[in-house]
Amino acid sequence: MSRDADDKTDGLEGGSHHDAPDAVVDDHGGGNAEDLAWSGGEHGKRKKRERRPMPGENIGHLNLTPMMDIMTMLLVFLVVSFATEPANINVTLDMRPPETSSKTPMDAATKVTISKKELVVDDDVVVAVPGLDTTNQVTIAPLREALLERVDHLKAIEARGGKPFDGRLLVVADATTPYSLVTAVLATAGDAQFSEYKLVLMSKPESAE
Amino acid sequence: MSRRKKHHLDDEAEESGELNLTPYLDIITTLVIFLIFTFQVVIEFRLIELLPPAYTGQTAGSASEENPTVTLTMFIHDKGYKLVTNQPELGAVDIPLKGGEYDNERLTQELDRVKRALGIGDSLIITAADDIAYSVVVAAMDASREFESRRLFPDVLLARASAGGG
Repeated sequence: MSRDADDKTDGLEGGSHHDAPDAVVDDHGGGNAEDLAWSGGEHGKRKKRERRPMPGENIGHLNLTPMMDIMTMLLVFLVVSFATEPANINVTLDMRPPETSSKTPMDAATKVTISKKELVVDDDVVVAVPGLDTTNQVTIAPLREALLERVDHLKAIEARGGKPFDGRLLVVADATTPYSLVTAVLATAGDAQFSEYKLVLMSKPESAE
Repeated sequence: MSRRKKHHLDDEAEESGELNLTPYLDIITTLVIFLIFTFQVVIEFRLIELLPPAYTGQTAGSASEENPTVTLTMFIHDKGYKLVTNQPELGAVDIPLKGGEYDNERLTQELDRVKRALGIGDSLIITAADDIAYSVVVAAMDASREFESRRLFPDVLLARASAGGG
């Protein structure tokens, strides 16, 4: 095909090697958002194109809707997760409960946490675990004091018309905790008027069962 | 962009009735960052309920149990499991370690066999040597709960082992 024929074909297809540069419009002369670029010059086709912002120029309108959607969904998810969690349990390197196939759901109650480092009643550190002799001791005195204090607090709430004291205790223990320490904690809790024990464990993934 | 043009755009946004979302976005972003930082990894927790410590060998068989006179106890020691009853003539079952690990599969099968043979109820006393890890005890409790959708021993009492644990 000759050069002339090529030019004709381009013209029919609205091709553009003769066209003006695409969508580059000089805005410095006071153009506005309605600026138009001319293309397909030979046939006079008029296309409306978005004006590209010049480097360093402020962008007038960002579409924030998708970001707002994501943020709102994330916020709702986080808030709902916070609200539905009956007990706040921190899994750390020092306190990682073993996994279980039990299906009994989580409950809220007074919580004793046995980590590698310390014994904690709710959020109060009671005693350090290293050096704690549970082989010869049936109960742990500092833990008993802390639990009795908690019982007094719960009974005071009950006396003011609040939730009745039900003697329920959650025991959260690290997987490596020796059995003697677990039983010492249970015996101490029994001594401090707690009568219903629940072991808190991590749910085993379904595929692992 | 010239100041005049910026004012012009602001005026345009106001006139078109657009909301200024910047303060809202500020609050949401701050909240999300705070919640993400304070949020723990989503881990589902489950409970294993224990029988109260007042529970003793004499009360092991509840009224609903078929053979309340027989109490089953599981000892966990460093060589495996041992199942015994309060009636020595019924003997004991030893379940040694398999490949250095506790044989929970066999434990479940033996518990099922013992339960059906002796007609014991749902209660089991578990006791372990002092240095046995808590995870081993929990695994034994899981293995004792059910077998092929049949209830085995979901009611567990933890007891303190005597020296040697079996």
